[in-house]
Amino acid sequence: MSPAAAAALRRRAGSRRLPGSLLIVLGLGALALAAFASLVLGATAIAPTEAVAALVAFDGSAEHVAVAEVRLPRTAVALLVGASLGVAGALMQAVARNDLADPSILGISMGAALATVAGQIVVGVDSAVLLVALAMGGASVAAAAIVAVGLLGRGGFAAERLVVAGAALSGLLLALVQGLLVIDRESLEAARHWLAGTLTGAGWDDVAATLPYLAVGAVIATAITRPLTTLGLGDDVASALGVRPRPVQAATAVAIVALAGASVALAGPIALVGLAVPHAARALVGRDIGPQLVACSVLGALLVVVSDIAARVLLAPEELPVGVVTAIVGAPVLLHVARRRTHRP
Amino acid sequence: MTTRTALLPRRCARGRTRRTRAVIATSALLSLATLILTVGLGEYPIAPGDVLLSLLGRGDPSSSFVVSELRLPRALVAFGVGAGLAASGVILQGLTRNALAAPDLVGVSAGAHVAAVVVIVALPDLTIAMLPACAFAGALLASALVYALAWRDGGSSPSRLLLIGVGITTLGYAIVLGVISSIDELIHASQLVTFMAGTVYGRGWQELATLAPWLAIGLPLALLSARQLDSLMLGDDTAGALGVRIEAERLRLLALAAGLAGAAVAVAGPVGFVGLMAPHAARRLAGAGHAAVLTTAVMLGGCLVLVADAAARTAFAPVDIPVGVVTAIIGAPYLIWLLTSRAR
Amino acid sequence: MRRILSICAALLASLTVAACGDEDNDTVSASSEPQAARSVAHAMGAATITGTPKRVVVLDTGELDSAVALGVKPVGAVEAIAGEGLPAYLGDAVEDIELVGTIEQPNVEAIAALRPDLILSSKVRHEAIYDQLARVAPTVFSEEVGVTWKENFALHAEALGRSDEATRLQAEYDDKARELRVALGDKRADTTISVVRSVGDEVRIYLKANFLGTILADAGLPRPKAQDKDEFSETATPERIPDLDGDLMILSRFGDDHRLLKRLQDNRLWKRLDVVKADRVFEVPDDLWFLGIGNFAARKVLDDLRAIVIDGRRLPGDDGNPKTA
Repeated sequence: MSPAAAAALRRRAGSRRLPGSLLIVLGLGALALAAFASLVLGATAIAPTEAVAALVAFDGSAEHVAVAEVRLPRTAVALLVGASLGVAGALMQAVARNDLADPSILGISMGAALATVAGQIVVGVDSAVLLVALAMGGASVAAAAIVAVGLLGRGGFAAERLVVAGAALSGLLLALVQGLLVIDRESLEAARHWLAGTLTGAGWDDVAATLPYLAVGAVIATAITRPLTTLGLGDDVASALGVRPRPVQAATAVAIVALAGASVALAGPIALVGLAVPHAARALVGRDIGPQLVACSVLGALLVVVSDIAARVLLAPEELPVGVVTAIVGAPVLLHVARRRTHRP
Repeated sequence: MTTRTALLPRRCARGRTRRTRAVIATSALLSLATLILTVGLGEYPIAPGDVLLSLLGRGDPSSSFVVSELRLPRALVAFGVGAGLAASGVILQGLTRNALAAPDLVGVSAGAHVAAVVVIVALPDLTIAMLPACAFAGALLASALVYALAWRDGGSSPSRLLLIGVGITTLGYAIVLGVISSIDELIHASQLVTFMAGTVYGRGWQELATLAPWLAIGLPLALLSARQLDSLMLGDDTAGALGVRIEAERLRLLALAAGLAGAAVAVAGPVGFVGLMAPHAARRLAGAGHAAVLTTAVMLGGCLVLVADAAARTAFAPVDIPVGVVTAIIGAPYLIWLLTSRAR
Repeated sequence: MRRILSICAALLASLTVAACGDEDNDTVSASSEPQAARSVAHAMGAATITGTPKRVVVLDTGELDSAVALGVKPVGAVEAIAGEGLPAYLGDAVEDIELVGTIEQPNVEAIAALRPDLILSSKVRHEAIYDQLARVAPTVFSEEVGVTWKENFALHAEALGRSDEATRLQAEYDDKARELRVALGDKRADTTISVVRSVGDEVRIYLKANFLGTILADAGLPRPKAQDKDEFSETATPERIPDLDGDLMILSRFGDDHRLLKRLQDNRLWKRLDVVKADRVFEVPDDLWFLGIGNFAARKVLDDLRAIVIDGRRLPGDDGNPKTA
């Protein structure tokens, strides 16, 4: 297809939707609002003016400290986790050509989780940096397993095969986590909050430990946008256009592992964000990878921040794990998408 | 993706019957042998001979006590749980014509699990005998949801069914974790986390008495439904022509599968992958006639959980690992192998 | 064949040991304690106990504490965490007690092998295995643990046939509590006690309906407003740090990993707490203050409490600085 034709196609597709610039403004606006709400709401509501004052005219009062030292880092982590999972999900769905792919469904989140739990229980690892590295390792192994399933046997990376394999893998990894928790009783009591993903206690040092990996993921995601779009036209077409599928897929996999693994290291295995967000993004901006990734990062961040607010407010002063809220939001999306599918031969 | 082709008969009639009988007989012997051997395992090993003596009431007092009060009821519960889940799996797979439709993959176990947890937390004084009924209700609800969502345009797409099942299971898991995370009694929280993995620790005669009626009614019912399952296998049109009232049958069979899985989950939690592995092995060994497959699967499922529990309670003694961990360690690779080795 | 022989030998050996054990204990007289069979009502029904039980198995820390307090050394007990042993505060009194599993999962086979004549535990912990335990030996269950420790103590004493001793020990506890209350005098109102415990990756605020809560109430020590609730505990998130404030804080750690606690302590909100600024955070031994949940522990806690509240003394092991690990 000639570049001119491709551009024309894109313009036509884009013109059916709202102008991109408007969407970006709306999205960022919503995100800013949500982030601010996250500073204001919580176990105790803090007046908006106080929240602003805490950021610009810090006076050391209890409320200001709560905003600056507790809610601000927590909101930041929520934004990062949401954006990462959203982007990871979009990348997975693009590279596998499978709109049901998601780090939690395909077992990658649970792989990272098992690695960190095993590290803490079996080896007694306690440094944040090491734990993040373990999360990366676990996510990589799980990703390798899923890729292996996709490559072996017939059916390739078809949705159903991959989802079932992912369910099996997640089931296995979760069972191993539970086995470890039963052996180490003291972790069992505390893990009940973490198993679904939680942002309690999130701090700047967590961010620091995961930043390298998030950066790698982000950089790769940006760089890979064009080749991935080309790949979307089909392996053969892409090769003809000079884009070799395997390196692109491998790079995408690295980005996915980095982003998903970092999210688990930050907040535990949060479910279904990577599934729901890309679907919403595609509804708004179309299938083009570039806009999709941008939309996914914004929408993902939005989803997790809002879910975290709900998690803190619903049972105040106790907190629900944020993953419970995202799963309750994401499951209907999953069901809806699954329902819409027609049987592919 | 395995579909109908994997489930059609593969042998000629005469050879099949002889072989089927052999398979069933072997399974029965295997079950008995496994029972005796696993009952002998534990912190205080008891030789199979002594186990037999104790079972016959002529063993020495110490080992007799251990065998008859502690290990035997637990083993029987484990066997029953495996049997129930296997039967449920056979029914679901025949009903949906999908070889991967196991109760834990289709959302049935998840529904039972959520119901059981909610009842345990909200109604702590409810007698344990009522739990299977509640779990049954939950499993039915989940099945109805799956049915409503997956059956469209007069039929179900096998792939859609599994995807919806995964969605329901994820939702159920989130609800359970939400409950576990927010209850006040910390003692119960850790017990629930163990339950979530599937366990038969401490299951005794009382739990067996709770499970047995459901199996005693459900398993024969399943056997009686074998013919309907065979017909359904041939496709909706053929089955209709053969006089089977499709929708009614399907609902009835779904309820049966829910009841069997629900009782098992109520007693032991959602023990995974048994409802997948046992029917598969049974089908490979006993052919495709559902009567034979059911009978074999029930026994193989029971043996599977027996062996898994024996491994689970001895591997890290004195800590008792939940049996669901072992079935997952066996079952997940098995499922993945199924996915990667079979033709679509 | 060899296996069968060795198993028979093991079983024979344990039978012999059990028989010998019984013989030794026969020589201990139980003076005025009842000898005939008696029925003890408990949370799961009634147990028939003959004479004074000598081979007692205890399945939780409160029961172990009661037994030791009453001068009975159990033949079997369970650990809180596998491999960690029994609570250190009991010292030599728990030497040579056979370990029969964990609180979470007692090993009923191991219990049976000890041939006990009494098993003590609670419904909240082990309701699921009550039937099996009851078949091994007369089993007495209390309803709950922790906050009901006084009733539990009386129940355990009744089962052990040592009710008189229990009454005496409980009076001793009451006296100590009263002494502390009197010694505090007017200062009591200004001595609100905040109780914080780090359990793995969770930090808990202990409220009033637990073992320590009852002791504090008996000593007349008030709780901070945020902790003045009749419930067991709540989770402390960084936002709730202000709720941890008080005139004095009791801080304890269960297990090894305390990442969340460290995070809380690095938080400016923590450092601004009045109790932290006044350096009135006292670390206490977890097994005594939170696991003991019995009369023996309660009396020792009162002694420690007195040292902390009246003398301002730090307990051994508390160096006054937030630990970093």
